[in-house]
Order: sequence, then C-alpha cells, then structure tokens
Amino acid sequence: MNAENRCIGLSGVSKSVAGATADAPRLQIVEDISLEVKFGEAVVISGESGSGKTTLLGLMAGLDSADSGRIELLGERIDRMDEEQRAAVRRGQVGFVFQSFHLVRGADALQNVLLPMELAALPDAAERARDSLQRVGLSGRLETPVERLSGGEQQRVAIARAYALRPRILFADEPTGNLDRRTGEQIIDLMFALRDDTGAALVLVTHEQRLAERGDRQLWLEQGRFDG
Amino acid sequence: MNAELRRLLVPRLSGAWLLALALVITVSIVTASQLFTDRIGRMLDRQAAELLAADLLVVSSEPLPDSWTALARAHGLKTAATVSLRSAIFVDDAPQLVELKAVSRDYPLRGRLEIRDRPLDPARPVAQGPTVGELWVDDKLAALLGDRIELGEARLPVTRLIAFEPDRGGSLFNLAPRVMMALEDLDATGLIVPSSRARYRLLVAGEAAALRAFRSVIEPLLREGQQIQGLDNARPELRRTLERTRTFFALATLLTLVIAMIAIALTAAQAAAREQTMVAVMRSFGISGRRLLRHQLVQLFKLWLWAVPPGLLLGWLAQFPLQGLLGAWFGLRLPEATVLPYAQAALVAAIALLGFSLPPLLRLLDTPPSQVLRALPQPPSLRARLLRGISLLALFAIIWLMLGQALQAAVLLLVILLIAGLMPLVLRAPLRLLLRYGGGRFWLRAYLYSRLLAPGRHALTVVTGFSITLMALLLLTQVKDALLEDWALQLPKDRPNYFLVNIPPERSAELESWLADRGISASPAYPLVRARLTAIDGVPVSELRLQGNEAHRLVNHVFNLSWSETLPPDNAVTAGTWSPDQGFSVEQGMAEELGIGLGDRLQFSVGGEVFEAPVRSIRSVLWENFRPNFYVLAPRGLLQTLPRTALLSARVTHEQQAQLQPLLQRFPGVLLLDVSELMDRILGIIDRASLSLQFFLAFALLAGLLVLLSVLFGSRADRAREMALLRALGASGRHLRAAQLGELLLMGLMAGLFAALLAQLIGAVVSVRLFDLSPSFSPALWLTGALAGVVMVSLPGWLFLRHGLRIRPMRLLRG
Repeated sequence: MNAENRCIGLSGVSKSVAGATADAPRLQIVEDISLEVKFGEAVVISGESGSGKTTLLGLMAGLDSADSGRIELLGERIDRMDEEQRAAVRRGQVGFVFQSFHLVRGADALQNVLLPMELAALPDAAERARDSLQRVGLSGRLETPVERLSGGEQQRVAIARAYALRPRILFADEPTGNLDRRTGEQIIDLMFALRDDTGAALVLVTHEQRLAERGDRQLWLEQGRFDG
Repeated sequence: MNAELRRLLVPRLSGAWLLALALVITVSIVTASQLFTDRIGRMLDRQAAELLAADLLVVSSEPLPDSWTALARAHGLKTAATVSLRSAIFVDDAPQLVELKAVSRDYPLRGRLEIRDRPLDPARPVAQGPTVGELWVDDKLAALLGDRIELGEARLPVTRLIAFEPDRGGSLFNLAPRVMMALEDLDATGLIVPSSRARYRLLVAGEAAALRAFRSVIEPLLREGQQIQGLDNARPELRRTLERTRTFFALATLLTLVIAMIAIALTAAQAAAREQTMVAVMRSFGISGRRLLRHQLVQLFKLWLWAVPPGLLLGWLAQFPLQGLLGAWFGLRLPEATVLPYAQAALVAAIALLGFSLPPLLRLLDTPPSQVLRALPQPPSLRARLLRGISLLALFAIIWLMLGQALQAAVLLLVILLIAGLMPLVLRAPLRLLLRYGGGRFWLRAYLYSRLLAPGRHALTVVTGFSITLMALLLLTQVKDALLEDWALQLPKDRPNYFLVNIPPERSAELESWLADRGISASPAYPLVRARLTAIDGVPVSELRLQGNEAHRLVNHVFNLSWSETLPPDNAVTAGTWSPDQGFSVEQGMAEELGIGLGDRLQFSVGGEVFEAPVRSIRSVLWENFRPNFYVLAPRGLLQTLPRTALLSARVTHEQQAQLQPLLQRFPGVLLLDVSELMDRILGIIDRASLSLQFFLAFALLAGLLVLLSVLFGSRADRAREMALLRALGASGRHLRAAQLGELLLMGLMAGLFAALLAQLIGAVVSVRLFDLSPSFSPALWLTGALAGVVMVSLPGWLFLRHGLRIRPMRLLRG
C-alpha cells in the first residue's frame, strides 16, 4: 500500500494496563499489532469480550496512547504526540459513532451535529448539519432535544454528527450494541452509505458476525493479537 | 480493621464518603456556630456585666433581707452588697454634695475598680474596695487625699483616689463626686435614717442557669420599690447594642444552617441517585422493599456514626481561632461552653440525614425496577410529592430546633420554599434567551445550554441553592455593614467626653459662651428637674397594670425632666408633632412600656408640687450617642418655677484639658464628669461584637464553598463524559477550558445577581423589622453580588475542575 493511500498505519503496537494481582503486575491488552487501513476501505474488527477490540480502536483513533510501536493517522505519527496534538489531528477529519451514542443532553439534534464542526471552525456548518440530518432521515426532528428521541434516532443523530464533517475516517464502536436488530441494520446501512458517499475509511468494532461480514476486511482479535 | 469488623461498621452506600463529608461539615458548622453564639453571647454579657459590676442586681429602697443573699449563695452564685445614698461633706468649710457608696468585701463581682495612690498617678486595678476604716474618693475630690473627713458621725481618712468604678454612670447626669467606704463602717456614720433615701443593692454573679433560677424565685417576692436589673434592662446605652448583636448572631447561625442544609440535601440526593441501580437490581431479585429499606437505614445510621464525632471535633476546634483572636486582642478567655451545642449538632445531623435521604429511597422502592434499569424518566406522582414533604418536615424540625419558635420556623421555611420554588423559573427565562439568541460561539452556547438547562441536570436548582447561599452571605454583610455604620454614627469622632452637671440655671448661658470662647464644642445647656411620675391620664401609677421589669423600673424612676427649643440631636419624632411649649414629648420605648399615647395627660411631682400636661409627641432617642438624652421633655413654662440645675456635654481635647481647672474656679459647684473611660469600655464591647460578626461571615463563606464543591463533585462523572466527548470530537484544550470556565462564570454571575436581588429585598425587611434600621438601595450590593458569585464559583470551581481537562477520551469507549 503506498503511503498516500494509507489512512491508518500501525506497526508493532502494544498496550498493557496494571494487573489486578501481584503475580501479574501488568495485563497485556494489545500485543504487537501491525495493520494498515486505506481510504475508502471498511475494516471490521471482531473478537470476544476482553479481546482488546475497543482498546485497539482507541489507539488507532488517538483516543489512547500505546506503550510501544508506531501509529500513523492521516499521515501523522500520533504515537509521539500528546493529547492536545492528537485532538488537533482528529479535528474536522475523524468521525465517531459510539455504542452509547454520547450526545450532548439538553441540546437538540441540530446543535449536536453542529458541535464538532464548530469546534473545527468549518464553513457552512449549519447548512451541512441540516443536510446531514436529512440524509439520516431526521429532517423533521432538527430542534428536538436528543433525550426525547428513541435509541435508533439518537444513533442516527450520532451518524449525522459524523457525516456532516465529511470525515476521512469514521470509527464506530459497537454502534448497534444498544439497538434492536432491525434498527441496527438500518444504522449499519447508513454508515456504509456514508462511507460510499465520502470515500472515508470505516473502522468498525463489533462482536456480531452478521455485521462483520459486511466489511471489506475482517480481523479477529484474540487476547490482544490478530488471529490468523 | 479486619474484614468482618469492616463489614459491620463501614456503611455500604455508593459514594457514601461524599455524603459523610457533607454531614461532617454540617455537624461542625452547627456545633461551631452554636458554640460561637453561646460563648460570644456570654462573653458579651460578661463584658456588659462588668459595667453592672454583677450579672444581676436586686435594687431596693429599703434593706434587703439577708435570706435573699443566702438564697443566691444556695444557688451557687457569688454575692456582694452596696448601699448608696447622697450625703454632704465639708470641703474648705463649704458643704459639698457627694454620692456615698458603701461596699462589701467582694464588690465588684464583675469588672475591676481602678485606683490611684496620688493625683495624676497611673490608675491600677484592685481586687476589692476600701477596707474598714478608710475612704476612697474620686478625682474630683483629690484635694482631700490624706485628710480625715467627717461623714455623718464618723471621721475617716481618705487614702485612695478612685480612677474607675465599673458600675458608675447608670445615671450620668446625677453624679455628685463619689465617696466610697467599707459596708461595715456605714452604721457608724449614722447616715442611715428613714429619710436618707438610700438604695440597697444585692449584686449577684454566676452561671446563667443558676441566675435564671434565682431570678425566678426572687421575682415573685419583690415589693414596691424593689426591682431586678439584668443586662436586659439596666443600661439603655448598652441594651440596643447587645440586642442587635444577639439578633445578628441568631440570623447568622440560621442562614449558615440553611446553607449547610442545602449541602446535605444535594449530597443526599446524589447518594440516593447512585444507589438506585443497586436497589432496582435487588428488587429484580425479589428482595422485599421493607428489607431494602431496613438495609439502607442501617447504612445511614453507620454513616451518621462515622460523621458525627469528626464533625463535633471540627466544630470544637473551630472556636480556637476565634478564641485566639479575641484572646490576643483583648487579653480575655472565652467562657466555657455547655454540652448543648454538641447534642444539637448530632440531632440536626440525624434529622437532616433521614429527612433528605429517605424520600428518594422510598420513591425508588415504589418505582418498577425495569423503569430504573432502562433509565426511563419517572413520571411525577402525588405520592412522590408527599414523600418530598418528609424533607420539608425535617427542615422545619431543624429550624425549629435552632430557633426554638415554631411560628418563626414555619415562616422562614415558607420563605425558603418560595425562593427555592420560584427562582429556577425566574432564572430559566434570561438564561434561555442568552444561550439561544446571544452572541458568541454556537458550540459553546449549545454546550452551556445543555449543562445549565437540560432536564434532569437540575443545574438551575443548584444555581438557586448557591444563590441562596450567596444571598445569606450578602445579607449578613449588608446587615453587618448597616449595624457597624449605625454604631459608627452613634459614636462620632467628636463624641462628648465630659458632662458638666450641677450648673446653676442662671449661669448656664455664661458657661456656654465661656466654653465657646475657648473652642470647646459643647451641647446646649439643658435644664434639669428631678421629678417622679405620679399619674397617667388621671390614673395613679400605683394603680396601673404594668407588665415587665422595665415598666416597673420606669414608674419607680426619678425622671430628669428637661426642656429644649429644638429637637435634640439623634432624636426623631415618631408620632405627633414637635411642639415644645404645648406639652410633653415622651421617649418611644417608655411610651410603649407604660402605654402612653398622644394626648394622654402625664402628672409629675417635684418635692410635693404636682403639675401635669398632655403628651404632644413621641420621640425615638439614640441612647448610645453619649449626649444628654431624656425620657421626658417638658414645656418650658412648667419647669421655670421649679428648683432646677442644668447640664451639658462637651468634647474636651487633650490640649483643652488645661482649661478645666479655670472652669471649675470660675463656676464653683459645677461638677465635671469624665466619661471617656466608660465610653472606651463600651466601645470595646462594640469592637468585640463587630469582630465576632466578621468571624461569622467567614464561617458562612466556608459553608457556601461546601455547597459548591458538593455540587461539582456530584456532577463530575457527567462532566468527565462530556469533556471526553468534546476531546474525541477534536476539541482543543482551549475549547475545554472555555466550556468549563463559561459554565462556572455563567453560574456564578446568575447566582450572584439573583442573590443580590434577594438580599436587597429581604435585607430591607430584616433591616426594618429586626434591627430598626432604614432600608436602602445599594448599587454596591449588586456589584458585590455579581463579583462574589463569579469569584466564589469560578475560582474554587476551576481549581476543582481543571484536572478534569486532562481526561482521556478513551473513557468514552470504556463507558
């Protein structure tokens, strides 16, 4: 894969946390992971609970720092950066969809979508936010406080929030975990449609095999290492 | 601690330590504020008592039975006795009227006598009065030092000069020079005869409870011409100062307590909210509500057990800075406190803990577990509202306990509820307008809108709580400032330090101009006629149905009637019109005590001559201003024919002291009373009172900070999640700081401005109703409120929250 087409690059990345007992002072969560993701590619990371999926996603997105190894995000070496610098890399270029939605309570759907664009000082923010909410089928709920929306609708707002940025990468952590099967499928459809529209890379963490099969590439994580 | 003991003793409540902290601080606030009130109140009493030379006096026109002294001693009280009467001595073959005072060995019980061995020597304190066979005289009779003088049938040597006598000055204008002797020598003088009009005083001092008990036994035994004087009715110039200081302490304690209650209510609600998942899960497993309730009550009891001792200890320790401050300043030790404040604090903690923890718990037991576990909103119900009533009852019980009066407690609770209920509504509208349509970054407004106005966050309730806290602080400051200002006004820098009495009326004009020629500022000379009140509206005073000691004291009082063409300084007509030639003008307090109204005819008697006139005006009098003040001003025409003298007050500077000797030579017979010593003592009391007020303010501030910290602590998980979200979405450190500071500044500003509004409104009522001060609009209060709100919320808030800015966004993925 040439460097220009590379969206994320991991090389020999490891992460451990403090262990619970004196016998095992450190607990290895992710061990010697190497991975490359290119723009437009949908990579699905699966694994059992505790396999390190979420930690790996956090390392790739710069939400967490590694103990060792090299991490490149959008052409920048983020493993050498501090929290502030990593946030600057993400700003306006990276979208997130979380299992628990993580919307700002009290604010309405439009305000939630506007939030990251305002932080990134993007132009035409209001117009893009409205388009984005229309794209996810919520044009009629723009000014509804998010806590009055159903779980599926809240996740749509979260997708619209990510979509409005026209991100170069979309990270999704168990995006259907709190939704019923039918709503979950709609959400996945939306995310893939967003990927198709923007040409962004999609990194999806899920433990549902059915969703994993929709990725361009499936990776199975077991005890912090890729299996096979 | 082993595991079994820990299981038994440590409460199993999520976040219990936070509630425990609030309880500890509440207990310490109640303990300390009660101790302060208790001890400072008693210290002030003692200081004032030094001016009475006792805690309590029984005054009589005839000898008091020995059994009363024995009774006081049986109550564990110390006693002393004095007999005072007017007599005459000869100085240079001229008769000189003197105030003779015979004192027992233990006199004075409070305060100290100060004497000089020679004129102009520095004064030195002594433990007791003259011994048998000697006389002490005041400075005005300094020429007699070393002489033997005839006092009735006795002839005794003058051995010391009296520089200060603690209980001198009750009637400043009537003082002839003092001659003091041992009580044992009095009989030998032969001066005590039926017509000598001696005043017999039994001085009593000791613990408050014993004094109350003694008073309750003696009061029914009092006959005409006998009365009890305590601090409450003895010295008008002190009474108002003491009453106001006490009222202020009561107000400060109560407001500090309200702040503490807000803190405990907030932390108890937070603790209950954290428990709800556990309770719902247990309910899902089929555990009965009764069992869960019992479990929770046990946990609360353990919490109480853990929180009360450190709270009491902190409260106890908190008095030492005050003691150090006052002790170092004034060389005094505060009197020991009683056990009551500790018991009250522990009880308040128990009531508050149950009152604020039970309602959310009972409501939780009522709610289907699925509703809790799925985080569905709980619909409002009548039962939920009724349950909230438990908190109100608890609050009422606490205020009642502290105030001791149910009606006042109910009114105060109503005011608090009205404010707490209305204020979020009042706050919502301007905040909504500002955040929806105001300028500035949209994302920031959206974030602040979410933090401050989102349902379920109760941010406005918190702002209301903090606003009430600030209001209490502003109110205390405002009232304190008004009190101090009032005191300062009463005691201007040019206050008089000398009284000139016994001025022959025909020479008063000459004396006035003599003083003016020498640049000595003086009041006009007031005529003085000593008269007894004999009837009100035709009813003899002996037939009046009087209530209270003060009324009895007044009818037995020998009034100094005076006359003035203009209303004297610091007097104000409160009813009727100022018409000095057409009738009496009566002091307001006296009019209230004796039920005197406009138009009532007062009859006075002077040496058997009786005269009467109608009351034309009622006046308020500022007794504390150390100028000549009068209960009754009479028409000039009535006084002109009666035997009279005149008096005036003067401010004699240090440089003008040399003029005093020529004055006395020019106007022989005029007595010069130096009241600067007495005033210094009274000023000392006022100083101490104001220092205590400021100390209280600091304590209330501490309670306010506790409210803020408990609020910030309670919302930290929510806040951390949002900071992590902003970080994940690319927010820079500057963005995060702007979000946090914006929230704190806005909260502080809103709380400060509304606190100023409330303090202005309530302050006006409190000033008028409790302290008899005029209400005033104060722009400074608004500025102070806004600034105090911003600083008090932002500064500690920022110190507390800034660590949260380093949050790792990975927290979001970890849930």
